[in-house]
Amino acid sequence: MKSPTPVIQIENLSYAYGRAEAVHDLSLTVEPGRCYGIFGRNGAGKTTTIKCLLNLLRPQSGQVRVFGLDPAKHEVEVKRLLSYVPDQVAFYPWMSVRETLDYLASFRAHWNRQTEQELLERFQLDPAQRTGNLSKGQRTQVALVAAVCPETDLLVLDEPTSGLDPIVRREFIAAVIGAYQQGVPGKRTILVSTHLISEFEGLIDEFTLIDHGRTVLTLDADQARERYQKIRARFAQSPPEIDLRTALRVRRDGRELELIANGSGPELMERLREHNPESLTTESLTLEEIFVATLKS
Amino acid sequence: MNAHRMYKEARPLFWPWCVVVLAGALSLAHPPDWTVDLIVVGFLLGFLLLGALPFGNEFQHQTLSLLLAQPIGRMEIWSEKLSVMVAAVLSAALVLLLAWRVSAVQLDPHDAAFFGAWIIATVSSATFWTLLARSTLGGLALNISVNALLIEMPWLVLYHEKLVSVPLSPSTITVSAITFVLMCYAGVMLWLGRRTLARFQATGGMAGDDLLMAGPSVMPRALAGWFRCQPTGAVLNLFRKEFRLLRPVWLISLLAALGWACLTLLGLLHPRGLTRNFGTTMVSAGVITTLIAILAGSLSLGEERTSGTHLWQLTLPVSARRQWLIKLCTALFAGLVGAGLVPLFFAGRLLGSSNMLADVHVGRDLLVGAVLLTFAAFWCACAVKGTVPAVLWALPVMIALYFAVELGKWAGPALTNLFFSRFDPFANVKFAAAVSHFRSNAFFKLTDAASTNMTDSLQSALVLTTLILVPTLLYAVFQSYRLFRAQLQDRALSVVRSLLPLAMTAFLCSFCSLAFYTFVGRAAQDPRWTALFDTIEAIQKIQSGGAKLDAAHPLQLTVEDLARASTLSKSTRRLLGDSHIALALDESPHHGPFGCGQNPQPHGLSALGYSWYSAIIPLADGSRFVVAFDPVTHYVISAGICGGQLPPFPGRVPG
Repeated sequence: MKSPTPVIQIENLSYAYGRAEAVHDLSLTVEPGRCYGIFGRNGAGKTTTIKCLLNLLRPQSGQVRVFGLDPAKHEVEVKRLLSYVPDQVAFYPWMSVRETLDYLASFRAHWNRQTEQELLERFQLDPAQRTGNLSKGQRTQVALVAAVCPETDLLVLDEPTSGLDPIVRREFIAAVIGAYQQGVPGKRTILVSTHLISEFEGLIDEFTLIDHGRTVLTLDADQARERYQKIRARFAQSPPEIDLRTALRVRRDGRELELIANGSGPELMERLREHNPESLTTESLTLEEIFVATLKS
Repeated sequence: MNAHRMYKEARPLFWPWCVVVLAGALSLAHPPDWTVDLIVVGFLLGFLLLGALPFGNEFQHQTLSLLLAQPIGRMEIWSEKLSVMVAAVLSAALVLLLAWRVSAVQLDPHDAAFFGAWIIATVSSATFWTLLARSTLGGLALNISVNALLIEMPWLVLYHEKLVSVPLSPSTITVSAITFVLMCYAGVMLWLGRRTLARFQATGGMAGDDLLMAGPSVMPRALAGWFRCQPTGAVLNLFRKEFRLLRPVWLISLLAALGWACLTLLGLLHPRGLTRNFGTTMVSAGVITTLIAILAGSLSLGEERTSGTHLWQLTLPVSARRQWLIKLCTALFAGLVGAGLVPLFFAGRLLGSSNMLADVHVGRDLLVGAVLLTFAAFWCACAVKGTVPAVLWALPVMIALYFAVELGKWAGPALTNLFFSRFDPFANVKFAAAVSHFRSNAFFKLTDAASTNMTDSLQSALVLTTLILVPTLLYAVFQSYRLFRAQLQDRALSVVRSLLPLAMTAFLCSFCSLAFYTFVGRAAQDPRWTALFDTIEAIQKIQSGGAKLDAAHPLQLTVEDLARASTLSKSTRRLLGDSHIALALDESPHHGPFGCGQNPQPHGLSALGYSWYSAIIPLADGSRFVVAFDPVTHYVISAGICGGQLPPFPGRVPG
């Protein structure tokens, strides 16, 4: 059976701003219907990668394909298939929320007015208000409404929750992203770039962790949780000297020993059991913990 | 005062200050007369910018809230900014005065007093207008408009002999009174600026959230509804958005039109009075139209880049090329209307049809100038981030391109002449004749402007300008599209990097045009033509006796025969070699323009009963020179190298 065309395919992408290398030899593939995360610290190269996808930057080497199309050659076709929320949302200050949405709707073949109305009410946005008078969070909300209403096949979100208050943030993730993806299951794809990973914990299917423009880790979220484990052992006395070189991180705290295992969990558990700990527990790491552990190691 | 803070205030003023100083010092280079007005306009605009920038920069970078949150008094901030601005303005004015003194520019003391007071008034009021408009350009526009309406209008009125009873040339008392009024205005505005800063509230959060861009709508509701974006019609919405982005340009144009309408009213009542104030009127009109043209080109993209909406626009499903084209067309239209058609309309009314501004060529130049300046500003907006840097770069870019063209104009002939001093490309007469044929082209009538009519001269100038301008413009258009969609680095070096290929194109165009022009000119001025003149002169002397010639049996002359009749130079002897020159009275219809046998059309003059000599001069290189000339008037009727093409042979044989 022929596998479907990946929604996003990036191969050996490199981009530098002058001498400062933003992305180096980055590769990733996003399959249809997935929620894909690009995680990294500030300045890791997340926004540059997304800008290459949108043809806002031309890759200096490597290639980028969106729905099998080259964004540089099929600029409009690609942009018709996706909607985008930038990291810094800006609108024309003289336009009202209503006019801004009308303006954006004029570029789209389809615009779901019902979703627009629901989201405006949910976010308590006044359509008559000028965008110049909106707060940063409110502007992000308008941008999200504008990204969801065209119901495109791909939603690209660059730091979408920055500037949102905790209540809206939670509501946004549950309502907006969830509803968007569940609308046509298996077809709508989300690419989200963020360093606030905990907020996307339950939504991410697969992720790539990048640092200094290079891929550090690419994993399926479930596989990652299986692979990365936190092991806690408590001994009657101070912990004995054990060979724990396969652990990603080791922390000793009195009689307690805390390890982070990267695929070597069962082996480490076995070794710890040999020293008869009082208690021995294991749990999967959250994506944020994986992010921290991987980058710190 | 804190040294670090003073440095921080001085740094953003440095480059604008350099531009102003450069504009002031340009008079030392003895530029062409037509650039003097441009320099004065640039200089005045520079002063206005220096006044608006200290607070305008804070708005542009959205740092005013941060600055006001620091544990220092607002008045301390105000005095620090004002000190740096005053130092910059005074030093720039000093450079201008020194440059004028060195280059012996005569300045009327009354004008000097007025301009000095005007500078003090505009600079003092800049802080207030900038804080009110909440942007550099808004402040600049308000400052210019208010100055034009409230200060210059009374000046023009006071100068007017019939409205008030003052002498036509203002007396010292009048000038003192005006200067006093301006100084009072400066004092009041300074106080207002200080007060506005003391009471300033940091409302709004977006760049571009200023009075002119996002202020209350001044449009009638019906019209506003048409300009409001609709849910359908993407292209029309893009145009609507562009028109709205250019709102400051429309507002300034409207204010300027109002001012000019008032002047027109005065001019219609008392035409002589305004003619006396022509200079002042032109300078103020020049400042406003230049500002309108620059803003029309730079505002739309500059504001989008500052606010961050440009990148967002590029992610919409409409091609970047279309967005760029719509932006460019709207900008050019705004520049053409605001800085071209409106001033031209009022200039015609204001100064009368007999005035130079009503002249069709000057009108055309004004329109072309407005479009070019708008495009230059658009290019700058594509090459830099933000409106203010684009405005600041517009004039230096134009000056750089001007110098590139001038360098090409100098280097083209110079290198061609150097080439001729080393090599002789016209050893073959046929080649020389073929090259010299180009002189009949309109382009080459430029040097003959004195001997030909004015239309030819203008046409030639137009061709030359087109040859230089069109390729440069085409490249600039292509480059502006490339820069439009590029991610820019906020550095002056990146602008210089973009400017260099453009300047190189301008240089190469002017260099190639002028080098070719010189090359062709040298072909026509080749010493071989002189040798042929010698030959004809000798033939004329031989025939002065009126010897009967028979067309069927031409008179055969040798070089020695010619030498006996007239002095032949060595080069003439060398060229003719052992030739036998056939001379006949040519009464029959002339076969072909050069008598070479081809193109057997009857010569028009034969029908009129003219008779002329026809000389066939075989040259040493095998070609034949055929010349037909009138024995009485000595006018050469036709001449040419057989096998070659018609050379631009002089109309009268020397001697």
